Amino acid sequence: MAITRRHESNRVEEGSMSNTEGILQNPISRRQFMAYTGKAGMAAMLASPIVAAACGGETASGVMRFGHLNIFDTPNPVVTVSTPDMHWLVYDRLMEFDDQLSPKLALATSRELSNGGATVTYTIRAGVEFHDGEPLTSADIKYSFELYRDTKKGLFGGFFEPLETVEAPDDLTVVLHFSGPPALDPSVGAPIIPAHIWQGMSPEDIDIFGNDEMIGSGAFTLNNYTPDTRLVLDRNSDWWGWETNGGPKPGTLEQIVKVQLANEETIANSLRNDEIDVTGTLSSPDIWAGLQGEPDVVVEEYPGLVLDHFGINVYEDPNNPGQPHPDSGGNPLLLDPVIREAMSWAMDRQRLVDLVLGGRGEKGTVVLPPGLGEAFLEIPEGEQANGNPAKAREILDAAGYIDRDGDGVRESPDGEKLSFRLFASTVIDRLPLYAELIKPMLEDIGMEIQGVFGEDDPTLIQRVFVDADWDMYTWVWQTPPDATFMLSVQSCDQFGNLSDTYYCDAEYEALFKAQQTEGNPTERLRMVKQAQQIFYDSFAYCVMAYPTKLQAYRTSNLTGWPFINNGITTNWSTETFLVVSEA
Amino acid sequence: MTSTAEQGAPTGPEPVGAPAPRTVRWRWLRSYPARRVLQALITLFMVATFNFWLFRMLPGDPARLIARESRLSPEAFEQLRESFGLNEPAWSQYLTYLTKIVRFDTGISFKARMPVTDLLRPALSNTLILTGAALVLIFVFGLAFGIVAGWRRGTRTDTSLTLTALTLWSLPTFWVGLMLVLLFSITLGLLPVAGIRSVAAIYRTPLDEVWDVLEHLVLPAATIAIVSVGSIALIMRNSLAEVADEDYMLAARARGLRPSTILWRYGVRNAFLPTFTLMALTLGLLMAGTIQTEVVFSWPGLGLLMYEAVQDRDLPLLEAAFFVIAVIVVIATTIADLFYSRLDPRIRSS
Repeated sequence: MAITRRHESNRVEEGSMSNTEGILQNPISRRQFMAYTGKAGMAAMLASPIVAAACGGETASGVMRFGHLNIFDTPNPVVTVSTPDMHWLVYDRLMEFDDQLSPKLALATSRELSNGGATVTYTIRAGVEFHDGEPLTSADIKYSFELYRDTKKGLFGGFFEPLETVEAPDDLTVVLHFSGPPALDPSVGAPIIPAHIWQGMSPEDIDIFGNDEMIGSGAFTLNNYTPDTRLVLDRNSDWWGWETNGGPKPGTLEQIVKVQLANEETIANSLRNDEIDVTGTLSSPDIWAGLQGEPDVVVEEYPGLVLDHFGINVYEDPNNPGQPHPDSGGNPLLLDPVIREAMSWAMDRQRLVDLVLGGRGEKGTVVLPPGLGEAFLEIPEGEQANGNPAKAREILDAAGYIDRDGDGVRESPDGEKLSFRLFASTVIDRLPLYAELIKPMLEDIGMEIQGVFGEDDPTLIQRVFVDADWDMYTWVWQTPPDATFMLSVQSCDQFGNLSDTYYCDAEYEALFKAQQTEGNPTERLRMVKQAQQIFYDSFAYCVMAYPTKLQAYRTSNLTGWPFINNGITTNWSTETFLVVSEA
Repeated sequence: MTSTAEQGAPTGPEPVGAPAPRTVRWRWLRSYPARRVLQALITLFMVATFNFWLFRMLPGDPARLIARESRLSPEAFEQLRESFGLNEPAWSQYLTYLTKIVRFDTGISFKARMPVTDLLRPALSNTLILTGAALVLIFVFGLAFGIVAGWRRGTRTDTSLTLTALTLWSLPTFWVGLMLVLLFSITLGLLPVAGIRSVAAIYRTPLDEVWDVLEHLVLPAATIAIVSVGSIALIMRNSLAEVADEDYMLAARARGLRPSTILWRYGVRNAFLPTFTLMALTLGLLMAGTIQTEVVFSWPGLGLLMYEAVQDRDLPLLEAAFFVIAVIVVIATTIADLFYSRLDPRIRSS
């Protein structure tokens, strides 16, 4: 078929591949198309820095840009369970943790103990105002502490359990009556909230109170908050703690902007690109190490208050010692401490630290992390049940756990196979890794691990803390800078709440309770260490490692960065935000 | 052919004061737009129902999700259930949920303790900015590539553009995003890594802020466009290649029309129908599919909000986010269908 057009040049020959090929002029020639596209792209690329210089924002000075995976869960300090550093910047506390993570006076100017340490009398600073101009008095403290005690919710509610009554005899005096001397005075953590705003709310109202104005009396005021995106805090120049007002804090930050970034890679790149000044904790050693050598970036490794552990279900029937509790779904063989001890001997913890933490941590032993300083019980190397599979086999053989049918899996004297389920939280990347590495270590001593079952936190929390339907699992605890919290996890009172082993031992329980109200620090330390030893010897936990905290910051915009145990940010201290200044 | 409604329309004037015949009053319900809107409403009702029961089937006590820690007394848990209405029977909660949806009340976030609408509103607008920009890029470049390839089918240009489109289509979104960050942010330092605005910027004029947002928009929008442009290009290319063999194209050429006239008036216009359908679908899919991009660039949109909500098991927020996406997809497809029926009368008549 031949088609003739007006223009000779558009003639097409019969049998050509396409009707449109050759006969028609190209409406858009490839060369032209590519040329135009290329030119447009080049022009845009070249123009962008010029336009950016002419337009675009400039970075404000005296601002700390803090990039982290979470800002916080809610501005409501009564129900929050997040790391409370941002709440503590907005709300004053009677006491605070300093740069050594030791409690010291903050809003309070004096603290006196009486009644054997069970009564604590505070005198507070005069002339302190909330951000809305209302005066802060002892009535606000009384209201706040009674609210924490009564609601028993959030991060601070549990710490007020021993609090019986609060008195406010005058505007500047608060008297706290505890059931006994408190080991950790909850005043060190509890934000003081304004009674004139919160009073009158029902417990239901408080549960769903967004607190989007965050009226406190602290060093910073809320500028704006977009949930899960960004929090902007402005300097409260009237705050009593600034050096300019006669206080101890030399920082000159005008603003703190905490931005929520979705992953650690983005946080590291933002720091590298001078889009943020400081990171939260980087759990990936590779990402953290990748920042080493970057100009104006300091990478630091801090002792942590974290322990990674392997917890074992030891839920025993108190009426039939040695028998599983009727509510337990765990394997009854795990009630035998010999099997648990063998597991501990089978684990090569140094290998776990090297492979999972990239060497950024210490081998695990007791239930308190070494970041707690003198409260940490040092188990001598030679006494640690660790990294000796031959010893594990030996004690299993001696107890009659032998592979009788030659299938590679030991059986109990009653013929029950040593076959267990291992669960791991999938929320923190390293937990399934631990489990995958531990599985062959246990199989090597003749145990069968039916699988590593990854579950998200809510499912695993239900399984472990509520249903008690598991054998072993890997988990992380992050503790406040005091021994009481981690010791309380193993308390008999915590079944269905904090307990993740259903461990209950009378001697341990007595020590735990006694240390809570022991006023003599030396005696308390002795009790704390003895309790750690008892729990270590039970092998209900095999603590795998104590990860160090990996963080990084820039020195190009800000200076005066302190070194704080447990990290420069997201620790239990607000010191960094109060001492850092413009470079 | 005329529609049934048109065929059945009364021919004479109605008697004054007489009620309209029932068939006439409700006839509009049988029209194509009415049927399509009704279908959309039924779909949304089913989505809402599915949404509600799906999240109730998840393991775990919702009160524990709200508390986010286990150290609460049984009384405190019970009070949380009351505060969030979880102590009511499931069917009662379901009716409350449906009633609230009609009133645009999506409940209180388990995590933030704020109305879910307060969380959704900024996230939705941020996602619309991102998807809007990405859609413009997708359609400009997708149509351009498709038209060039389709019009020059069988040539090396066609082969190379088709291969490029297929390659781009098969690239993982997160990988493209990371590569763009590596090149344009880290290596060249031209564009920001994350977010929608600079963290602590001071804007002298509104234009400064607009430019700042645009700078942050470039890489995420380009990421979405790069991985999505291939589908539009290929559909347009195939569609154009098909119509190129139609008789009316031959006739147009035989009449000696200019090539550009043949291309745009006869080729592209007829080849555009399937592409138009895909455009509407793409809009809906993009709304739901920006999660990876928003996570890579920490773009504070609906996808990132859902990503966080899944991690936090924030059920009211998840329910609302899924429902909002469903609404957008249903609206987009309904509008596309209605427009399509205008463009192609065969749809209406069938």
